[in-house]
Amino acid sequence: MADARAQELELVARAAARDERALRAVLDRAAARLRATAWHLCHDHHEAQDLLQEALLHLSRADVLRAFRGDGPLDGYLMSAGVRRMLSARRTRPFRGLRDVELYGDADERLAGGEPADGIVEATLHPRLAAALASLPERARTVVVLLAVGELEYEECARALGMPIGTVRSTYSRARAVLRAQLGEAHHGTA
Amino acid sequence: MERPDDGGDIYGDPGDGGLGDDSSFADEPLADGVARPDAPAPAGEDDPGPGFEAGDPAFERWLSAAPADDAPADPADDVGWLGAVLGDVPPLPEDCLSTDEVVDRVVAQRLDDELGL
Repeated sequence: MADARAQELELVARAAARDERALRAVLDRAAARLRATAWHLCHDHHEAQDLLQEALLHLSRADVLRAFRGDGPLDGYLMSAGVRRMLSARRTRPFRGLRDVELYGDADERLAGGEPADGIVEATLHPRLAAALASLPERARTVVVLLAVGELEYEECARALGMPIGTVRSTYSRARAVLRAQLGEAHHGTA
Repeated sequence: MERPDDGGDIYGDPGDGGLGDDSSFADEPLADGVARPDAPAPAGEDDPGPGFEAGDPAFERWLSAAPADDAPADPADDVGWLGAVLGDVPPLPEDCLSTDEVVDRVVAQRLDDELGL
């Protein structure tokens, strides 16, 4: 563990000093999860791309890199700082609303095409999940996305959102209950 | 689609008992490294944050009225259902950059910034 943390600190130090390979390695560690998180926050590929770029530019700043002290995993630090930046960026933009039509528009085709059972469950669950998520307050939806998609731990999520960790836990607990209730049978079919 | 965080009262009215008033978290201890929303931003995080105001009445109403569930000790344990379904992102449209291409751009921009100093 100590060796891994020392390696992360060394990698970050090189990235902060503008070592191209190190900088790319640092950004690669978080980019895919940040993009998935961004997409689930806005349901728009273009906006998610903008948010990802903004988050990565933030993470590539020398002062942001040097703020990593090695007192936790680098991945968690990058996700927390990147997500925080994305949420800040969303504040300054007009809310365009969750878009689910373009995302799940192929559900009927997939059903008609005789997809395997798992594919059918997935295709029929998504619109219901999207609707259930949209019914949550934005703060609760953000907590769910950060934990389930961003794979943040409770503490990292709390740090990213500036919320007490107990509130993150209780928000997630209640959001799960609401989602379970709204998903009903569809959820039980995939649990 | 209507913005969902409109504080609708489908989960009950404020003060209706619900699960109690545990949503008032002004005095709740914070996790290590978690700053109060009005605290100065730590080094390297000079952005204004997500903008979730503490004490938002609509959110607290929802939090106190919604049913509780048994959240796992580690959210990674949710991969069996919520994480697995949510983690599925539709394919990128043709006019979007791949994640690798976005990383390439950011790295190039940062190196250019450095050379320009």
